[in-house]
This record gives sequence, C-alpha cells and structure tokens, in this order.
Amino acid sequence: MRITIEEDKCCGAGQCVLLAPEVFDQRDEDGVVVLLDAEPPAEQHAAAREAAAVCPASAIEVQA
Amino acid sequence: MSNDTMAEAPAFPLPRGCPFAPPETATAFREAGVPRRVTIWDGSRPWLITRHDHVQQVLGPNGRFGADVTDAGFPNTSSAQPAVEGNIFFRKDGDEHLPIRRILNPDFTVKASEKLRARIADLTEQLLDELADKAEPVDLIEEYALALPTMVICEILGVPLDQRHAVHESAKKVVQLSLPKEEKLAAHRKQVENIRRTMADKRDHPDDGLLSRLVNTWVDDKNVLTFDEAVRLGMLVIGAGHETTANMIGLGILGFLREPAQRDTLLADPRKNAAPAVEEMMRYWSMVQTEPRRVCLQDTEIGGVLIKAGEGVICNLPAANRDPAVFTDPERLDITRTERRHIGFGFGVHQCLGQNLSRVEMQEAWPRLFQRFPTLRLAVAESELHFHDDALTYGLEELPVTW
Repeated sequence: MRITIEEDKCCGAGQCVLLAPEVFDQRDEDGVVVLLDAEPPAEQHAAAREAAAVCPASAIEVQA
Repeated sequence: MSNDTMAEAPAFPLPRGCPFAPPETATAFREAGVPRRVTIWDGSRPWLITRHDHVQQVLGPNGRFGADVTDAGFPNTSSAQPAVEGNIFFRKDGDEHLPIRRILNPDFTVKASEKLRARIADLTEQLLDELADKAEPVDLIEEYALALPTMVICEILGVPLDQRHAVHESAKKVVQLSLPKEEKLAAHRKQVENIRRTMADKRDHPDDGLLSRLVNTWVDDKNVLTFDEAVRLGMLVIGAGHETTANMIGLGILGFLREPAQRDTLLADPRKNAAPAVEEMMRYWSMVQTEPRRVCLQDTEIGGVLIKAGEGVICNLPAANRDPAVFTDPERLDITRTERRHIGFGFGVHQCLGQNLSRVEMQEAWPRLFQRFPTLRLAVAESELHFHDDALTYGLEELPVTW
C-alpha cells in the first residue's frame, strides 16, 4: 500500500487521525494532515482505506 | 401557487410526522432516488438532495457548488442571512475560506480536543454534583446539555464562565429561524458588541484563549486578519460551538432513555463504546436539519436530474444518514455499528470545524450522566416532549427527568 496526501486540499477535519492515528496526524499550527507512514503495515490497511474514504476534502489517496 | 405546484415542490422546512425519523417527504424523495424541488420562505424552489451519495456529490470538493450566501441563487435561510453571515469565511469558498479555517483549526484538532478531555470530564462532574442537589424533576437541556458546551466554549475562547448565560442567550436568537428579522439583527449586534469589548480587553490582558490569540497574534502581530474579521471568527465559534453540541447531548440522552439496552452497552465499557456511540447518535439524529445549502456554479447532473448553474440546493442529512444503500437496518439505533460513513457533521471542506471537540463532550457527558443516575428516567410522557422543528438544528426544548 502506498498513501499520498494533498496538503492544499486538507481542511483539517481530523477524521483520518481518528481512524488511523498511526498513519495520520495533524500539524499543530493549522490542523493540516501529516502523513506519518506512507507505506503502513498490513494491519493498518483497512483503517487507512477508511480514512481516505471518509476524508471530507478527498485529500488522501491510497494505492493498492 | 396552485395545489399541483405545491405538491411538486412542498414547503421547506418539511414537517416531521415522527420525532425520531427524518421528515416523511424527505424519505420519500430519497426512495424516489432523484433530487426534487421544495419551496422555501421567499418562494424560490431549490432542489432537495436526500441520497447519501448525492449529498456527498454536492458537498464534496469538486468546485461545482458554492457556499456563498450572498450569491443571488443561494437558497438563503432567511432574508437576514446575507447581512448577518455574508462575510463569514465558512459562507465563502476557496481562498476566502480555507486559509481562515486553518487559523481556527489548531483549537479543534483531534489532539487539542483530547488535551481538553480531562477538563471536560471535570466540568461534567461539577454539573452532575449541582444536578444531584436539585429538586426533581430537572430539565437536562438547560442544566446539563446546554451548560456543558457553553462552559467548554467559554474556556476555549477565554471568556469567564460567569458570562456563559449572556453568551448563550444572544447566540440562541441569531439561529432561531422563526424570529423576526429585526430581533435577530438586534441580537446579532449585541453579540458583536460583547465580543468586540472582550477582544479589545485581551490586547491589554493577553491569555492562552482563542480570542486573545486572534487579536494579539492574527490581527496585531501577523496582520492577517482585521479586528472586525477576528470578531466575526469569535462570533462563529460561539454560534456554531455550543447549541449544536447541546442539542446532540440532549437528543443522545433521549436515545439512551428510549433504548435501555443501548445505555447498558455504553455503560458496560464506556472507554470502548462511547466513541462509536457518538458516531451512531450523530447518524441517527442528524441534528442539522435545514442545511447544508449550496448554489450550483456549473450545470451538474445528479441522479439523472440536471441542476443548472444559479439554482439552489439543500442537502437533507437526516434522510441521507438513513440511506439503506449505505447503512444496514438504517432506522435502528445501534451504538455498536461499525459503518463510519455518516455525514452528521456534513461533508466537504466545510465539514464541522468543532467535530472533535463535540465528540469528546458527548463521550464524557453520556456515560457520566448514566453512571451518576442509574435510575434516570423521563419525568413526562414521551409524547409531551417538544422538539424544535423551526431551527437550523434539531433538538429538544426541554428534557425533564427524575431519578
């Protein structure tokens, strides 16, 4: 799995952090997404996919 | 308008036949599967969007629908809306919206909200101590559901807790749809004056609160905001930040009272079950009932219907959050539900700014209440409860309980 994020789109809702806190975080200064692990281990895949699906700004892309 | 036309485009807001379900007409529109027109206060006929996928299509980040309430085609909530909200960032799009939202984001991230959890738990316990001393029946809306978020928002802003009643009274008038325009504008002006005064005072007495940072950092140091813009952001946080959560705390309590098995599940393991309970209550109640609204910016086909540029659309979250295409057995309240796709906080880049804070408030408020009062029950018949149908957000007027 390979995750990419688009910071420009991010509105800082934080849904990804709630769902997959080991993969995503938020910057303290503006709430924008921080990608902690672009190639997370298998046990994180379902949560990462769900995070991409519920991201209100479509700022997360998950490949394979 | 003839009866035929009315039947084609029923008056909106739509009445609810059952207080625990979306308006029947919204459900019927969703089942029909296509956007249908409704008639709003000014006689205009925006489209009502009721399917979950269609709502995501309208609100998602595709640039085809705008949030600007001053746009001629925008389906305003009242004649006062363009004047009252016209220059607030969350009624704007693109560069007029996202950079400003990011100024407020730091106070509402997942981490910032978690950091406040212990304080929220303390405030909750304080309120429960006060409740325990009162003569029953007690109205949980006033004494608990509204008290907690108002205290929390005052903490975030850096406003003394003893001002919370004044903060609440003026905020309530601004969001009440049925209030005459003049009264609404007067309440709005009073609220603006209060914030202006408090914010000016923060220049001489800076603290860690949001109002202080807005004026000292973003106005005076960085010159990103004008003083008036900072005041408007303070207004927004108050307006959006307490009555919404209050309604949800109240509705959630009612949900647990009506379904004791759900309450028992919550209490069996609050640390584990409070979080999914919040998501399910957000889905089940879908408290934002007359918004989100948008104006179409480019001709767009939704469910086979062509929405033209310049036409208004109103998304119906209650119907969308009970869409059987997304949720199994959608009419059932089930706090162990694992489907996370509800759009109770909206969708798109305007999705609720305070969602993580409100999650923590609900997660603390519900289990602590039922732990403190295990025999909590309604003090009136369920049929005597009054819900506010005329407001932007659905909620209970009063929730009289005994224990």
